[in-house]
Amino acid sequence: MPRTKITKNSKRNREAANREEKIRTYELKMDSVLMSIDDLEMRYKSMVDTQLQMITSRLQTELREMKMCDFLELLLTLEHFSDFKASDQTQHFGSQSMCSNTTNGGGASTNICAAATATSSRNDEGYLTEDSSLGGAISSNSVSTISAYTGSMLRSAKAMRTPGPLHSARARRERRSRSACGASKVLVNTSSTVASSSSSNALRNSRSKMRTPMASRPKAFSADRTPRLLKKRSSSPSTPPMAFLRWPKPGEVALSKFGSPIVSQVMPDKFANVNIPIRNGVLSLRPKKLSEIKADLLENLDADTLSQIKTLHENLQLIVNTANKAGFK
Amino acid sequence: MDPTILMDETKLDTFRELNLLEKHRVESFKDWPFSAKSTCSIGKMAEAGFYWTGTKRENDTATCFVCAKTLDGWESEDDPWKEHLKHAPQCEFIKLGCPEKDLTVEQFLKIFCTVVNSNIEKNIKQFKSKFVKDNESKLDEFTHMLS
Repeated sequence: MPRTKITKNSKRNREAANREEKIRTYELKMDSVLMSIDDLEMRYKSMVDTQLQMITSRLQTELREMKMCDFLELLLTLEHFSDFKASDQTQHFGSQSMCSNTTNGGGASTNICAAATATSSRNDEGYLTEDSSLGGAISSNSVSTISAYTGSMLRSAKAMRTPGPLHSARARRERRSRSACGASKVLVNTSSTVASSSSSNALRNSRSKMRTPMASRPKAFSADRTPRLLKKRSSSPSTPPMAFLRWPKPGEVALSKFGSPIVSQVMPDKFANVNIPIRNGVLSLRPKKLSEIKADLLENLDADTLSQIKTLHENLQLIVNTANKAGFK
Repeated sequence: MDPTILMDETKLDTFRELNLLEKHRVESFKDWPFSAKSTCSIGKMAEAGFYWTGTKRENDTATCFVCAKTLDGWESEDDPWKEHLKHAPQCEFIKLGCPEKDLTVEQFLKIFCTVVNSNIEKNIKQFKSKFVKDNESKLDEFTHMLS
């Protein structure tokens, strides 16, 4: 009885089908790989864009407008862009304000230590940074050395006067005076470190024993700061809806017990928030109703950042609208 | 100013292959038919954004580090800035129209951004064409093997 002979044919058919299938898969895979390459390209390019925008927006005005020939020479001494701020600017600023304080105090050598302490309290918000350590170092130095320097330093420092990195400090001054010296309980803790490390000599030299050391050293305690007791909750929505943060300086351990809130490297926030890098720090927005915005905070917004915020705003609006349409409450 | 000012080599050498710095562009010229006195000397060429892309046989080829415009057939009295503007008026570097030493850091960072992005584009384009070519030849192999 004859058999139907289909095996060979079907095998060939199967092979052909198999081959076509493989080619089709190949084409599909090729397309998707090429698409993901394009995607990667876009992503890397936008990464470059944002990184450079970040760098530019964080640069000091003086550095940003510096000519390349000067910058290339300066580059020898810099490791990061931010080193410029930390090493040159702050110290110039610190020494400058110290000098002006000294002269305001009549140049009397007994006032120098007090002036130096005042400098540190004005420039930092109660924790030890380069400024305060600078002031402290000088205050513990012999007084005569300083008065010898003062004349020449004053001149050179005035020449170097630039819109410094401590805009942030200046921007908040108004708020500080309003609620200054709010919680003295807290102040005892903060200034104990600073006072003991930097101004213990100063106190001994220049203050009468009758004065309370704390009262003579007015300390800012502004609304955007959280006392130590609330520290654990400081990253919750209970903090103000908008706060001004600053970037930690290179080599600085970001453990802010008091003073202006620092942008921590890791954001442990479990709630929706917006961080906007501005010229000298970060605006951090929290999901809480904002009643008014300080105009001086917005001075540091440039056109680019503003347009980015507008885009963000539109995006957020879109999310809200879509969520509303989808019936979320 | 001498563009080859002393610099920390290691710090900026990362950017050498982008020819981002005038110093590196100057050093890219392994050969050049014109003397230092002519209007298109190596120094002037590097200042106007060109780096050397020539060969032993055609040693007068140079390319802009921003717009990647390649020009050859230079003559000793050509002004690199004018030629650059004439052949690539869209170039961001020529639009600024000043040598590296007179750029501000901000302007330089913008140029840097453009250069890095076009470098990414270039590399990806190269990779893609090689990738497609390799895979097409494999496909050919596959179909021939079976037919």
